Amino acid sequence: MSMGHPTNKVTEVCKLKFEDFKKKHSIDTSTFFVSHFGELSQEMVNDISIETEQKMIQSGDKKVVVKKAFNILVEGLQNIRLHGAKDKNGIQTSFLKIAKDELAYKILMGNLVSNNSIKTISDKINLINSSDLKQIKEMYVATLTNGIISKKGGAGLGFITMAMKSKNNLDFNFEPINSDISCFSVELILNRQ
Amino acid sequence: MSNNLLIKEGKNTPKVVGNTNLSELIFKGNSYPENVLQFYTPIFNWIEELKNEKNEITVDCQFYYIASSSVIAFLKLLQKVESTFEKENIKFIWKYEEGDDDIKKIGQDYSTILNTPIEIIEVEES
Repeated sequence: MSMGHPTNKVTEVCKLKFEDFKKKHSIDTSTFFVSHFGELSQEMVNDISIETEQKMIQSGDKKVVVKKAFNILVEGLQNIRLHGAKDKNGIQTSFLKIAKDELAYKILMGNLVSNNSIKTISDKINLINSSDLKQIKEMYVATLTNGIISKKGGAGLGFITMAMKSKNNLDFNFEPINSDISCFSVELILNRQ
Repeated sequence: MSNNLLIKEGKNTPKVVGNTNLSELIFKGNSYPENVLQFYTPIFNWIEELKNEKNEITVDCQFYYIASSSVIAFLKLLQKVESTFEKENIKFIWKYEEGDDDIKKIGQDYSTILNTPIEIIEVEES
């Protein structure tokens, strides 16, 4: 922070979450793979997903793991663009960081959300986390069968698909920013084996 | 006579070829556009137009990456085919790369939802 430029609260809260992830995984033997902080264009979603895919292939990961990671990223990043809230300056702050160790990829994604939507998001993810893979698959097929696509192009399958690909819980968190918005983040693990 | 359909492969959209003479609609590539409706609507329209010319259709597809919103949009496309053509005049072919269980499962999920059988075929890695 430089003098005369008070830290923007939105950036401050989001950066803290972003840096926490880095600190947490610096203790273990992780290396950082892909990183993004700020606004996200559709083009960047494509570029980040493709960059990650290429780096994973170079790391010698199996095709099936690479494809799962790619899918998780596309779902997560499109979720951010379609549902991420904007701050009062119209900025849709978001972030992504991927850590890698020998056994797994750890993926952190975050964005702003309206405080009004916290309960809906929490309920949805808690339901997924409290379900086994068979139940998650049932949820997936039921959502698919009902097949509703919003005007924005979303289909309500983002978190379900992320959970199915990762086969691990979605670890999520809301950090309050002000009376309107919070910083939402979700962290998931994708095993490399 | 309705026109053939040709959509070139994009970064996040598949190549789509609709051949009126052959009554064939072929998809190959990735499908994860942000706005699926925008991408798939012209294909829905082509299916409608084909019905004016032909009473049969084959839909042959091979996806590499497909996002969840495209999975739903594509199911709707197959359902559109079912509501436009007689069941016995429809052929659905779902191809997946060797070992790609995730894409294979999408074809199997479609099988449980649709009334028309889907031929699920494993193809060699490209």
